[in-house]
Amino acid sequence: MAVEVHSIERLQAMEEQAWGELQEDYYRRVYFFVNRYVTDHQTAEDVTQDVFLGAVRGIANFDNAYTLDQFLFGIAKNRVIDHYRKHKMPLISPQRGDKSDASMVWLDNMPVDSTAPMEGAVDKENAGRRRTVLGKILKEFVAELWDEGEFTKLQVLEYLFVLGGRNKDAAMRFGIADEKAIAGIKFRAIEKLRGKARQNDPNHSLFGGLWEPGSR
Amino acid sequence: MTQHDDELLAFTVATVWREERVSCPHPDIVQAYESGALSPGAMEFMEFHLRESECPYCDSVLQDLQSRQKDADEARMGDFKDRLMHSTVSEIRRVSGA
Repeated sequence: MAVEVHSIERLQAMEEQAWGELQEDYYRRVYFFVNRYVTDHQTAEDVTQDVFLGAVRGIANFDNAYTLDQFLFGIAKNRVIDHYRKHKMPLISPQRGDKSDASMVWLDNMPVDSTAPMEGAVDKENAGRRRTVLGKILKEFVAELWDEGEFTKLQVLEYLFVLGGRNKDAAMRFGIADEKAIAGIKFRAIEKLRGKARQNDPNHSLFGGLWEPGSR
Repeated sequence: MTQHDDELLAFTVATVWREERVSCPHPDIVQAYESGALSPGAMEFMEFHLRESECPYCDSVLQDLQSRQKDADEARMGDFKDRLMHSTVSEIRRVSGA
C-alpha cells in the first residue's frame, strides 16, 4: 500500500483534486477504523463521511506538530466517541481477562487526551509540550526495541502500559519466569525513559519530580 | 519517587502511548506482516498488537490492504467513495464560498 504525501497547502486551498487524493488514500482506513466500533455498515459510512467533513472544516487550523494521519484519526476517534455519547452507549475499557473488545482501550477519552489534534486548542500549555516530548521519547524507545529485536519486551510493555495488565498475568501470558522478571522489564524501561527525558528536558521543567536526579 | 509518582508516570505513559500510537508500525510493516515477510519475532509482535491489543489503527491498515485485494469490496466501496467525494466537494465549495 503506497502512502501518499499530501500537501497541506493544497488541502487548505480547498483544491478538490488534493482532497480527492487524500480521500482515495484514507477513506478505507477511516471506514474500517470506524466500522470496528459501530454496529452496521451504514453508520460506519455516515461517520466516515462526517470525519472528512470535519477534516475540510478543520484543515485551516492544521497544526504541523501533528501528521495528517493523526489529524484524520483524531477526528475519527472523536466522531466515534460522539456516536457513543449520542446513543448513550458506555465507553468502558475492558479489564484484562474479560471477553470484551480490547480495542476499546484505544478510545479511552481521559481528560488529558479528550481533544483531537487540530480540532480544538491542543498543545497550548506545558502539558502539550510534555506530551510531545514524551511521545518522541517513547517512539525512540520502541524503535530501539524493534532494531534490537526485543519483541517480547515490547509486547510485555504494551501489555502493561496500554492494556493495563498486571505483572503476574504478564508473566503467565509471555511464559516469563515470574512477576519479578516482569517488574524488572518495566523498571528498566522506566529508567531508560527517565534518561531520555533528562536529555530532552535539561532544565527539568517539563516533568517535575518524575525525572529528578536521584528520584529513585 | 513515591508510589503516586510511579502511578502518575504509568498513567501518563499509557495515555501518550495510545494517543501517539507509539507501537504502531509503519503501514509498510503491516503490509509485510500481511504477506508473511517479517521475522518471527516481529510477526509475533504484530499478532499480539492486532489480536490482543486489538489496535484499531493498524487493524484499519490491514483491512484496507485486504479490501483492496477483493473485487467485490471494491465495487461496494466504489459507490461509497463516489458519495463520499460528492459530500466532501460540496463542503469544500461551501467552506471556500465557491
